[in-house]
Amino acid sequence: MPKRRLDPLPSAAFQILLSLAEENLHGYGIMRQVEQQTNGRMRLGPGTLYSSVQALLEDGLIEEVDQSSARGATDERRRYYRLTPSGRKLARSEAERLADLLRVARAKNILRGDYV
Amino acid sequence: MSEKVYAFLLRLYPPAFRRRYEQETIQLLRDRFRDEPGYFRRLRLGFDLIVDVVRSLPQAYGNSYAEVTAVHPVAYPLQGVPMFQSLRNEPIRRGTFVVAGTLTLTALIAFGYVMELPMPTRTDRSNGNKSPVESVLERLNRQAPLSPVKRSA
Repeated sequence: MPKRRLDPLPSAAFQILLSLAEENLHGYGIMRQVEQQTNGRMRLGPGTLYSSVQALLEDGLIEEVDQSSARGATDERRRYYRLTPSGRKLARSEAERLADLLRVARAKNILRGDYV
Repeated sequence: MSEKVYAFLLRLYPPAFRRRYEQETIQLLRDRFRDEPGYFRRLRLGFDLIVDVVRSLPQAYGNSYAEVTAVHPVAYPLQGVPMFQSLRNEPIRRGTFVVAGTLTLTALIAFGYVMELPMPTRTDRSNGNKSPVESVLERLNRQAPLSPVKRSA
């Protein structure tokens, strides 16, 4: 099996996968969702957003959907994207990896109790 | 930063990236201009865009831009059911051609051998009579000329 190019998964790519976990979004929607889920800490610029989207498409982690049938699609010029099963699987494994790191950090008293 | 300046900066990206995403990036920029009014927010947006161009260029040049134009229907009724992803994602190996060629050649040789065999006839009818077709087949088999190899032998 060919090696994934997104290995390790960059932070921007992981955030894009998370943003598509619940609904199909276009580029601007992804940018806004990422901004929201990171409490404004990450604001994807167009270059980072679309080069990451392209890499995720090439790795089969997301796919473009027919925008005419996408929920809430009002602008036909925009492309809508959705998570593939392998993208969801990768997002889950990355989240589990981060959860393990969090457990280690808490065990070593790096973090106080406010975090999950 | 104006839209024209950003369009100029987009020329730094690979042609394939521009062909696919130029309209979307410009549209995204317009959305951000619309949603982020005010001098300081625009100033921050301009700074963000310059940093974004510098940071995203290596990844943009690292992408292959091949075979990702397929648009899938939005419905996803068979979640969890195995699909032929490997047939779409993995290139055909060289060994596949060797195996396919060998199998095709074997099938052709077997077919040729079968065609060389004499046609079967049945003479054990209960009443001893042969059908017209069986009679013709028997005569053809009996009168078939010998091949040059058999003749020389």
